[in-house]
Amino acid sequence: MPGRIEITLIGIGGIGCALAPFLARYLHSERKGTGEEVRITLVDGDAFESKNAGRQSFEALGNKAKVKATELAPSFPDLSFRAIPEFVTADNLTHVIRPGDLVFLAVDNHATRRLVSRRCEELSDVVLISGGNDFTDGNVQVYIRQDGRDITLPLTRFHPEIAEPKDKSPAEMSCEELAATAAPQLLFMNLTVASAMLNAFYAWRSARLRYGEVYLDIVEGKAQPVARVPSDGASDERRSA
Amino acid sequence: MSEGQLKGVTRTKVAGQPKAQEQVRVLYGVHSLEANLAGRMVADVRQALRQALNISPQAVAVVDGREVEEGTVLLAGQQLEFVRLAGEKGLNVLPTAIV
Repeated sequence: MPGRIEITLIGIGGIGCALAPFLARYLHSERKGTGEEVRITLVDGDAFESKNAGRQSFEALGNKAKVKATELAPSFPDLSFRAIPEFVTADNLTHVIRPGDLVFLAVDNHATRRLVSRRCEELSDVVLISGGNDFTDGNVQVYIRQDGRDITLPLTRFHPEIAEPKDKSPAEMSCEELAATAAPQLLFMNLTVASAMLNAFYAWRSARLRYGEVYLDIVEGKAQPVARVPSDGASDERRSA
Repeated sequence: MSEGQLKGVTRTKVAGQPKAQEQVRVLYGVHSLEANLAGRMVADVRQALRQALNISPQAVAVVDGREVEEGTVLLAGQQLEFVRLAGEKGLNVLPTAIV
């Protein structure tokens, strides 16, 4: 009997915008062989404005999640699309991320990363693939929980900037603060991170994922994968922190 | 150990240099190097590479997958990673080309 895959993409900005159509195309193509039922939920409380057009592609102005879901649905009628036009918060987290989900996290703030990682730690089975970038470098983290055990490490482990974020999630910011956080980004770096997130997804799907984090630098032309495997006592240490 | 000394150790392999399994592998982001660092403390390596690799003071030191203290003495064959901070938000420092 064909299975069902629930995918949640949080953040439809530079990275999410690059990732979404290729993810949909891949699942559309793969589904022909597997018959899997696929639902993709797009989550973002932000609105697309014309000033973002240099790095982000939307067919209309409006909420990013809604516009992108509406845009993708006709091209991939065998996939189900849903939009949640909200930023992730502690209040909506259990609704946004459900047991068994595969979550792509493409946000630019550590506060949301911590929130999402902590939510995934509560679930028995979940896959979280998180990507972010600075101007010409970035990273992708993969957190996998299976049968109630950490297979790889949560986003917060070894990353104090995520465990104790100094920034705010966009849901906590005023319009002025949101505007002030806008920083120049390079489209190519967004593409590189999106691609690396999809590569991690493919490696996981084909049971060949060998890393928990990968670093990327487009000027150096390098990618450096690193294992992130829980060591004895690591989980206890983390949970008591 | 100065940065120059560390680079000197890692530059070329010559006769008499330690074999790979006697060396310590150091990672920071996409950067990696192998050097004869057995017996050195994590803090020494951080200090030696801090400027060359722009290692954040916040970067956690991890040896063979376990977080360690700065006073940890490295053993041959180990891998030391200074965990680079996650990518956050575009441009932190303007590159010269677009200033």
